[in-house]
Amino acid sequence: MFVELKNITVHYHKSLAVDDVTIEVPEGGVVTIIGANGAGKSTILRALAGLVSLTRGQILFQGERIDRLETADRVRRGIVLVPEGRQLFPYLPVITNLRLGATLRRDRAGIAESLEYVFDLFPRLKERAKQDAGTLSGGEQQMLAIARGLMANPRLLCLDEPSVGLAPIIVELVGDVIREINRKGISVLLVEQNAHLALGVAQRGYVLEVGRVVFQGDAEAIRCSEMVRKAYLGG
Amino acid sequence: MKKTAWVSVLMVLMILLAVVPALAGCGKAEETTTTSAPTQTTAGPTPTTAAPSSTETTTAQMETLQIGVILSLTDWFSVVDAAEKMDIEYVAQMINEDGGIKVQGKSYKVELVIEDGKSSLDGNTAAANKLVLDKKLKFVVGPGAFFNLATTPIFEQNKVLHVANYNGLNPAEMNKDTRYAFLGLDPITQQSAALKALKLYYPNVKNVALASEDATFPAFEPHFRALVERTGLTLAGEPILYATQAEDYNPIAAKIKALNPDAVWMPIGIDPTYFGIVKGLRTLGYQGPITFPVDAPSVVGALGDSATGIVGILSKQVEDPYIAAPMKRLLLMGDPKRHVFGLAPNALYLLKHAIEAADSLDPTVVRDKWETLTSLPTLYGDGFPSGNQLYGLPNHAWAHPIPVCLINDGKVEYKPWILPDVTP
Amino acid sequence: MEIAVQTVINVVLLGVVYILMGIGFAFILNLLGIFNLAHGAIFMSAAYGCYLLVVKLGLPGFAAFPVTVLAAAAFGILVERFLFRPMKADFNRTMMVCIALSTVLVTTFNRFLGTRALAIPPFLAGTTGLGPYRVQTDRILAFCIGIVLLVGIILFVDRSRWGAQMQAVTQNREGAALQGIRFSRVAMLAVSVGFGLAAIGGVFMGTLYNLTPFIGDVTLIKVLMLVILAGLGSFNGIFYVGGLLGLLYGALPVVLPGAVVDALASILVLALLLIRPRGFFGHE
Repeated sequence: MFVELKNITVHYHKSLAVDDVTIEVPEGGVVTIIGANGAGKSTILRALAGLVSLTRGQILFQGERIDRLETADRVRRGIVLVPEGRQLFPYLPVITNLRLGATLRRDRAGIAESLEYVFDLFPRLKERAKQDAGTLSGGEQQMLAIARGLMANPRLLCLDEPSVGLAPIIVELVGDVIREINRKGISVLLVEQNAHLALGVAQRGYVLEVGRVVFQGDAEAIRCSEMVRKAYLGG
Repeated sequence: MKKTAWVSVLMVLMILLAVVPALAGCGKAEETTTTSAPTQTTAGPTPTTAAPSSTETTTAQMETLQIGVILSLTDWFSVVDAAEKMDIEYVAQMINEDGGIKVQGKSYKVELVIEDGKSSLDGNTAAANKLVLDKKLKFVVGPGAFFNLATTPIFEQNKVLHVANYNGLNPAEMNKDTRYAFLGLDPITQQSAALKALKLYYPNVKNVALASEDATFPAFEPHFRALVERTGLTLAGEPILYATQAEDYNPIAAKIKALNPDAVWMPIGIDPTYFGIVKGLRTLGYQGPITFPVDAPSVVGALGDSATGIVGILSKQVEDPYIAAPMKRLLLMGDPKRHVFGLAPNALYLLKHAIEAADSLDPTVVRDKWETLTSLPTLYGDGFPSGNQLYGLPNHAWAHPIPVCLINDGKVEYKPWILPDVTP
Repeated sequence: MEIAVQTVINVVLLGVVYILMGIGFAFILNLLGIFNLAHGAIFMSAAYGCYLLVVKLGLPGFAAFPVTVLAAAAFGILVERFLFRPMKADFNRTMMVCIALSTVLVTTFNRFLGTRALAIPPFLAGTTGLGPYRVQTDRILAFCIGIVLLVGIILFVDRSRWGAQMQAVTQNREGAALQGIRFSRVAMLAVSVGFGLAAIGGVFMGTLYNLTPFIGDVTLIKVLMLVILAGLGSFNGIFYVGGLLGLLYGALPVVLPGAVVDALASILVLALLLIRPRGFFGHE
């Protein structure tokens, strides 16, 4: 398996946030975790990125244990998180935000290529390259956050609630972008409250409730599940 | 949220940092060497050197005379008084080596009872009360500077003869009614020597620019103006005042130079300000002589090539061929390179000779005799009264010859000591 | 007219010293959340260090200057690793560490070199004609070095990889970590550069002005003023406000007497804070 979170338990501010969860992401796949607010979805991504440590369990990347590594070393291996709330550098220009995404890379040509790629993907960012990130609109900021993640040349891009607070038309755009990224061969782990969006792009999914996986399977199977329909897809 | 809290903490800190040295700076007179309060190199509370009951048992041939001393051994003023303590102890030792104080055929060994004035008026009050009421002493040396405000009333009420190291010209420290108050050094005479030396070695000088630290200057201003006139000079422009807590003295130097004076006179300040201004003036190409209180080796060390055209007063060095014998002896008693302020030690030296002249241990008798004296030995040579009219008392304030040196191209040339003019 | 020329030079040199100190202080504050109250002591120690190298070891000024700055930067790395990092940015504990560090340095120099005012000998002796006026060559040299340094700092902060990383950590520490920026390295860099800049300021001070164990105290107050006025978290503000303080303290004494200068400058600072409680360029 490409990325494996095996039986992980995570405490967040001393309370149990994730309880014995196992999640697998195949190479080149798009996997989603859906669930209500506070179900522990973001905590799983934070654990994967190395922002919180595990109480129990293991995280494997291509068979190698990475759960003791610093965030930087996970980024170097290609595990990149586009965090909830975007976490941009508001007083730095768009272009610098993007270049900071490539902090650990030394291949000038590759960085230039990535930059060209994200500008193709998000032409708005090219127009606003010299503007401070904090002056962008919400949708543009989300694009910048994803673009910055792509600048690291990721192998697994983790997206935490990319659709939050965006207009429906932009949400659709986010869906398109995820498909486009996946087409490049980048695996995606998507955490979403918007199950329509998530299940529209993912091949596999996990449903999380109060820190536990309560359902898992193909996107199609989840979409058809009675429980999920009721809880997350509005009937 | 957190940052807002920091801003308030920072502001409080800023105010504290700004206020503490400012308080420490006020009332500082010309001999002070450093500005900052928090670093005392010396002194925990140093109690008395007296061993109360040893008198009768041991030295049978020589009785003991206890003399009180008030110095600020802790806190900011200790930068001056810690050195004074060492030197006054040397002078006591010197007196004892010469057979003590001789009164009516008997020799009395001097024993100093040193109290810490704690660099505050309260501390000085406490020290004075202890010496007068607990120890029942009849003679006290010190304190220096404006601390006399606190001690003078206590000594006067109890008829204790007290010799201040020097004072800040506040009438409450010494006036026509403080009949037991004596003064080891009339501070105006030092500056008289500075101006006289300037005229002597630079006869073309007709006017001087006066630059001074601003905190203590107001009390001195009328006397300095009168002094300039008495010396036959004029002031170039108005006095230029500066804060002791500045970093850059080049603006002050530029201002002085703009007056285009024949010479520059800096009566009150501390080394960093003197050096900063001299360096600034020389940088600007000002070539006239500059006079201020110096420790000659420090000036040369700090100013290098800029140490030129300086008329320095008060530098006490063993290599000075004109140095007064008692001062040389004092210097050689410790590290001869140390900075001797020589104020409290001189007050003790004067007191010894006044007691011997009166041939009595009764402070009132000593006072009455002292008021008739017109010459007494000092550490600096023959002393004389100065400022009888100023202080309103006959022969209570004293003066003495002042060391003078010329510094040119980083070289020190010692000159004969100058006899200052008597302050009216 | 001459006084005007001199005042311009004074203002710029003083402004440069303040900015060098302020930028370093701001680096440490913004990245580590530490009020480095030892900043003035580092400044003073560097000046003494350079003095000892020049006067006691006979090194030429041009060699002693970079040696001093590098030594201070190296000292910064040690301080970050062994004093700041173990305190984990706890406000009270880091405050105590800084005060202790400051006291140790001041007392050491006070003890071994005394309270006498010293000065680092000029790097270049003599004066140079500047139109009809003569100015000490050393000051012109310092003026040029100062301008070059300021440009260098701007380039470092705004253009370099490291500068961008430092700003990124300042603006969003977690966001920076997610880009692979290692906080400990950037923190070490910030303290090291901060101490190095303080050392440059100290050598300027020791050469152009005076050297006593207490010079750091006065300058630290100005730096605190500077950082607050500029606004916490702002790098650019330091330049403008540093220039303003240089102007206040370099030009006001020409027109005003004595401590009035300090009082007026402090009142101005307070007034500005009332108008802009977060300083001029602070974020949030």
